[in-house]
Amino acid sequence: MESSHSAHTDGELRSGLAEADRLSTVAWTETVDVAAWVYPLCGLLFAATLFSVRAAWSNLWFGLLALALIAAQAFGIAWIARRRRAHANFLRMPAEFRRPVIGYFAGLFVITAVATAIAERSSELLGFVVCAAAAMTGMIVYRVHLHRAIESTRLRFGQP
Amino acid sequence: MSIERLDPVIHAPKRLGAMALLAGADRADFAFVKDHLGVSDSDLSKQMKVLQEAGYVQIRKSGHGRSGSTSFKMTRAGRSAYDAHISALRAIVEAPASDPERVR
Repeated sequence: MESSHSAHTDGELRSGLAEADRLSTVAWTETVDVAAWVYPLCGLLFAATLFSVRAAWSNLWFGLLALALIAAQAFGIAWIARRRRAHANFLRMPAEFRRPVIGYFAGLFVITAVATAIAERSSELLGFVVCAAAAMTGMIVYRVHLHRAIESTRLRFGQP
Repeated sequence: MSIERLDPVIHAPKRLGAMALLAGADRADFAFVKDHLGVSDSDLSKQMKVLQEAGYVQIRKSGHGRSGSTSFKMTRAGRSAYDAHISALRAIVEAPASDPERVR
């Protein structure tokens, strides 16, 4: 009697734990569709912000432009965040998401460095174009890896 | 590690599920929690009220009437309690079958 009680309890505890582990990843695996036009817009905004900040040192109007662009992007991020029903906790990231997220920030750093180097050594216009194109491409690559992370996480818990 | 170590507030299946959802999120909407737990509005409200009264969850209501919304956020005490509960749960299920503590 005691062993069958413990076996039933163990089964319940085990399934409860498995379900808790699965549910703790759902904020990360619930996706929001992104329209195709968002990617080139993000590329342009990133490049415009970077080069406005660069120019702000010599021209105050570019500084104001940089602030306006940053405010516009913050508004856009907040608008997207409101469409999400849950805001994922970065400190509780499923393992599958670490590489795409680290890659995202590393990519931002690399694109900034390369675009700045091109602007310094060649031309501001070329640097701007390279920055916008690279940022747009980087966003697309990030989304692809993000979706793979979502699929891998769902597979780990036997979900479609 | 015995069953007595489990948090009785969190241990109920629906509340454990709600806490697990909030564990992975900074904040979550009412609809998000309700859809993933598969419970009714009133049932979810009741369960979250219990968690709020235990100090594990903050409930935020914004707007009024039909345009209003409710969201949940786990408190620091809630995170500690949830992590401790999950650790206890994991220790129980991973304990050897012969462990006498396991049957209590």
